[in-house]
Amino acid sequence: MARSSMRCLVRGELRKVLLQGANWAVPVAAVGVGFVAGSAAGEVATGLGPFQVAIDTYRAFAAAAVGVVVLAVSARLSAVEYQEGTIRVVLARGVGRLRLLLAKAIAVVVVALPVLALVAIAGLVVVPVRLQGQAAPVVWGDVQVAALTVTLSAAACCLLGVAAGAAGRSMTFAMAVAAGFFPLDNFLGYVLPILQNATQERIWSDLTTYLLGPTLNHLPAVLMGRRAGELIPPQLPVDAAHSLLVVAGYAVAVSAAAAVMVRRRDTLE
Amino acid sequence: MSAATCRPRFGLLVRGELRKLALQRANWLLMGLAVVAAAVAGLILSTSSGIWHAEGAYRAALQTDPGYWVHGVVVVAGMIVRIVEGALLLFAAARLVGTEYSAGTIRVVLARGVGRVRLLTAKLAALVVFGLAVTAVFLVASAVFGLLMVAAQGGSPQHVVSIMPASEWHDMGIHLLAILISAGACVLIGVAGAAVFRSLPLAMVVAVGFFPLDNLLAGSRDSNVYQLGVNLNVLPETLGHMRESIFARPAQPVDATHSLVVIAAYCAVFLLAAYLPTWRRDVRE
Repeated sequence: MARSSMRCLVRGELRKVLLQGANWAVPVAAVGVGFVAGSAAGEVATGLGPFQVAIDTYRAFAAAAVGVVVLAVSARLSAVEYQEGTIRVVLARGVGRLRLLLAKAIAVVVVALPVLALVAIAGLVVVPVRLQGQAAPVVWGDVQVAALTVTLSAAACCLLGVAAGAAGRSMTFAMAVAAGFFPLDNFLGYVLPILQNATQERIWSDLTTYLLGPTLNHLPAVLMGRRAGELIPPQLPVDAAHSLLVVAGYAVAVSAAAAVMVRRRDTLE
Repeated sequence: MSAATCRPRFGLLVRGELRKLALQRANWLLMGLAVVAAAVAGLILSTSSGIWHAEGAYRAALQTDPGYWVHGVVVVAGMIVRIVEGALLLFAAARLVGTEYSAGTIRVVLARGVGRVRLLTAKLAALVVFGLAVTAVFLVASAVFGLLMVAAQGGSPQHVVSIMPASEWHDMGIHLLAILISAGACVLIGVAGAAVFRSLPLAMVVAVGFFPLDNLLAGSRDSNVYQLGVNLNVLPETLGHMRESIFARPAQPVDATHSLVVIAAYCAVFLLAAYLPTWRRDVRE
């Protein structure tokens, strides 16, 4: 029996994304979460120039909104096969487990690209509207950093969602991880400094520099070299190399965990 | 035998739901994790030197001012129990209601003549019993933790208890009340999320995401005085406790009546959100 080509597999996964009715409700939730994140970042950006406030607020909105879409789609797509038991049908057709996982990850990237493009085009409208006719020079460096960090954040979300579905093999687990990872991560970024104050031990502050959420929150400020409107940052100053290494470390760890779990464990679902 | 006599009694329904709660391994796992997390956090916070602005004197306060030392432990224990018990009950409630729909077992139960609203009420009653049991476990664990702390730091538990002022017992009562109110709100959020979406994954998303989003949205907006998370955060304070909440706070000072009315309004909305779709929508899952 002929093995399906990777292109066919990705097309199949894209069909699943498009035909799952629940996925069409995700953008509504994403805009809501993005709005909350954007307004929280906007409060922190007080005191910056008008363009900086507008771009930082929109960047926080975009990162959160794209993140919600990518997390939800990737977690659902990778877990639904186990939940419905259809994974056995697909595997029985000669598709390798790792190959299927890779096809799902590629399908999520294909979904994420137009979402990123749409958010970027919307930004071209929203940021000038937010400036409300104020004379503010456009800083293209800030725009590039915003695009880069939103893309990096989306990539991290994609890996996290796919890994949660593949490792947990349960829709409930995958969705709980997708919904809970970043809130918990940011919560730790808030609680660890409190522990540091209470215990006077530096280790708690050090730990905040290794959290994915706060690192992603703070990455634009690090790359732009200025204060930025952002959600909870790491407690101690970090440089760009450290931040990028932390994000890369999480990406490698999450991908490796998913690949090992998928490769080693037999599919009994 | 008529259909009426076949219908399971309410007590039996509640017992059935309690069995489900007891037999779900994830609940025990979460309970274990919650106790461990609470113990570790409590150990770190209550043995630290700088806690509650004690400026290095907190550990020594057990000898010099045991009432103050107990106060610090009570504050820490109250806060931690509210957080971990709330998380545990959110998940348990979402799972108890959501699983029936996701696994399709709701049709089996309804086919036995149990009404949808009656089943939901039984689940709520079971969750109340479960919540009270969890609270009791955490209270006992907190008491054991406190006594171990006293013993480890060379104090005498009898001496500490005997010199504790009446205001400290009152404080403990306020913490207990805040824990119970917070637990009730968490149960209702979990149940409402599952009853509205009729899906375990979505119920879990609501359970996991509600409070982080609520706290994030709170910021320092004037309107945050009407948010549930903010009012629950400061409930021990508004009820009469002197310590400040470390989480999102109301933009303007609020009193106990305000906090309780806001929390009651949210609870009423969650109840309606749970009962209306259950009552009106047919079950096709």
